[in-house]
Amino acid sequence: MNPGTPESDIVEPFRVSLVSERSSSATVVRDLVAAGDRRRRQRDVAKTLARTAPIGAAGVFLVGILGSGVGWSVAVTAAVWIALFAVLVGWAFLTTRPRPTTDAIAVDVDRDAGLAGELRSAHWFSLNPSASAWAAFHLDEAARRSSAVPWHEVYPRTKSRKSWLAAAVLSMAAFAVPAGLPTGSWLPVSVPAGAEELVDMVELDGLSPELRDKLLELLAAVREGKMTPMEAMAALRELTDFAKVDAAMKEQIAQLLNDALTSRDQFEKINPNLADAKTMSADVEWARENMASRVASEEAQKAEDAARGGESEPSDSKEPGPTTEQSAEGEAGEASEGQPGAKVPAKPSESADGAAVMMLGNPSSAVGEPGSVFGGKRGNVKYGTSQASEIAASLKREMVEAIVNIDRSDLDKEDRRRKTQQSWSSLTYTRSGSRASFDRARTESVQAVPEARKPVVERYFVRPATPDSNEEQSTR
Amino acid sequence: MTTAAVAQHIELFRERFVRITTEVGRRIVGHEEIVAGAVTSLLAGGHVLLEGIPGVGKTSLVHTLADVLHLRFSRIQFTPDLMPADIVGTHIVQEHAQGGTFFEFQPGPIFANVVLADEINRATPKTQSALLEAMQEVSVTVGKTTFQLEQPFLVLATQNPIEMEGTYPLPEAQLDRFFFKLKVEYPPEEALHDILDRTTQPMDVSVTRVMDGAEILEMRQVARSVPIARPVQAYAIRLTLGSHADSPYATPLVKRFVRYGASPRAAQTLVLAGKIHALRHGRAFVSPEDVRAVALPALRHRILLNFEGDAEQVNVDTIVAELLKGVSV
Repeated sequence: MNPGTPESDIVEPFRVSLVSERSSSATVVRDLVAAGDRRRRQRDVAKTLARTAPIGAAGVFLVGILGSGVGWSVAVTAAVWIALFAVLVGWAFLTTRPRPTTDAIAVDVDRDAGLAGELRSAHWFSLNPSASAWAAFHLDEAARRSSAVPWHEVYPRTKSRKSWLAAAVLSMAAFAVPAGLPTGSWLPVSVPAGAEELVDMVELDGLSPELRDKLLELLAAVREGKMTPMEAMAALRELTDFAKVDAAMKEQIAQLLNDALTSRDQFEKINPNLADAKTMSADVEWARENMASRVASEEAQKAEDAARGGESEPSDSKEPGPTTEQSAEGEAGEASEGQPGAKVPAKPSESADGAAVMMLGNPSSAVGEPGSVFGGKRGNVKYGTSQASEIAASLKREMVEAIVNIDRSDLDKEDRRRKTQQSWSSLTYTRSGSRASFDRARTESVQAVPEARKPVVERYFVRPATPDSNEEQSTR
Repeated sequence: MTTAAVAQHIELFRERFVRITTEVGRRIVGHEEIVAGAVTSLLAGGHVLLEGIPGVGKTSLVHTLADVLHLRFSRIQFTPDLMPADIVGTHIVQEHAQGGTFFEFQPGPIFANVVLADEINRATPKTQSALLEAMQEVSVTVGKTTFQLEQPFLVLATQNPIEMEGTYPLPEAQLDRFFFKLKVEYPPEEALHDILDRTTQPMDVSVTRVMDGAEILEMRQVARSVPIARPVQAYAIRLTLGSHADSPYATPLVKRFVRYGASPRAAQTLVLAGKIHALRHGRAFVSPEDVRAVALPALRHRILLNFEGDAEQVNVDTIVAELLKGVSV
């Protein structure tokens, strides 16, 4: 070494070469960890996709089949397939994208590669450079050994050919199979099992196909609890074909709807979601009776109206009956004359047109509680309504209210709560007295010093005076 | 130092370590791990506490180790009436040739490279404590004079299980100064055959000196040069902290039965012994497995049980094993 050469000039080249070698090894180590981590995540993603893809394709297939039955377009199936594909691809992309390596990642990769902690340790030294030759040697060795690891064996490609094949087949079937099925509502999706049998039990040959289909649909709705028989009846009345149906058939239909309501209990066994409806049996019973009586009276009224209409048709057509408002006013006037408890008789209409005649309908049904039959004053319904559909609509609203009340939703929530399981413990506490109780009476009293001995005792604690002290005291 | 030199150092260290253990194994049968632990302590500059029932070869092991190493060896038989001066030495009155007397220090048996403190727990704690300064500072103070002991200095103490009569438990401070506590188990049946063959037949079981003090000191330097990554060091620290009942790393057994956990010396021991363990296996880095491999002899004598642990005769090895299982790598 040249004595004049500064030490740094000698050391620096070696240090630079060492650092460059180390940095290359450090880069290799970091890259290996990152690559291993990415391979590991790709393997995991591939495994997950291989498991998920057939399930997703099966789901798309089911959507295709059900959509064909319901009448959906193929575009719906395609949209579902594309959405599912996009979700899986997006998830795979996000999961396998490059990320900065950490010690935890290095631990996993090192363990998988069986490098006994070398890669992890070297990874830390690659992120935290050290001037030590030992660290450089460690990095070099780790880079060499890690590079020799057969990473494709550590993280082998997932062999999931069957899964992907199944996914492809199911995906193609999702589009191909529905194409071979008849389009339209061939699938009894909205009509539960039993509705057809229920209808077949009754002679409904006189119904038009449209009315029959509608009836099936409504029966299903009643059985599923989506609709009350009253609502179903109102919906049927909105159809033009329903007016052509005779009274006997209408009674059969009403009975069918009632039976559908009755058979809901059986349906609940199939559909547990309706289990809560069991609690409304009393109200449902009332609704059924109410509806049956209304339908019966309505039909009787119509029959009577038809009979009367034939007799007074010419005059009725010229002189329409009083309006509902007029009837209501008359009723109000009578009620205000000091007869609050008197029943308000419905005024006989001269007209055969409209349902106002129905107020008179069956004499037996006209008597009783208002509102229990058609024509009763309830809510905003006014007397003299000439449209049966309005009455049905009002009844529909009433039933809706009843249904609302059926599930006890208007009751206080406190009533539905489960009471707290609370009880008093059977364990009792008995205060036990301490074994060693202090009884003052049992203690021995301190012997008091007898009065006669007290001076002696006092003198005992007084230091006897010496002759000198006596002299001092005397001199003072 | 270049990376090539590092590789040479590692290989040399490994070769020397194997040479020592092989030579000791010529006489000592079936205690390979005990021999390796004793040599590890020697190379780390620590001391070893050998515990086992009488007759399992504790003293023979120490004798053999001293024979294999070209070092000065002395033996102290600890007895209840042994005094500290019997260990460190004392001043004795000498006479001048010209007449008159003077005090001269007579070194005790502690002035050696390898000291066998046989049955150390048979002496009173006062006498046991005479070793404290020597073990930690590698020096002895007598009167106002401090004598530096020669390196390498290694105390190999043997003790019988505490439950045996006539023994005094070692003070905690002295226990903490032992690098390793090695439990010498009863030899297995096959090993007993070898022992009988070597000791009851005219076989040459002499050992040769394979290493001297300078080489040992060089190996010590090499051992300390091994780098350790911070996460691995953190693992050693977590293990040490986990032996404390109030630590977040403490396991259920530690929380229930441990009164005092391991001291920072334990963390030093884990790291240093881990480095030597790595070098033994030809590696230039310390892995968590190295730390785990040395955790039991490094921690078992540094964990003090509470009353409940003593009453239920809890084995500290069980606590350490649970610690190794519970503390995350």
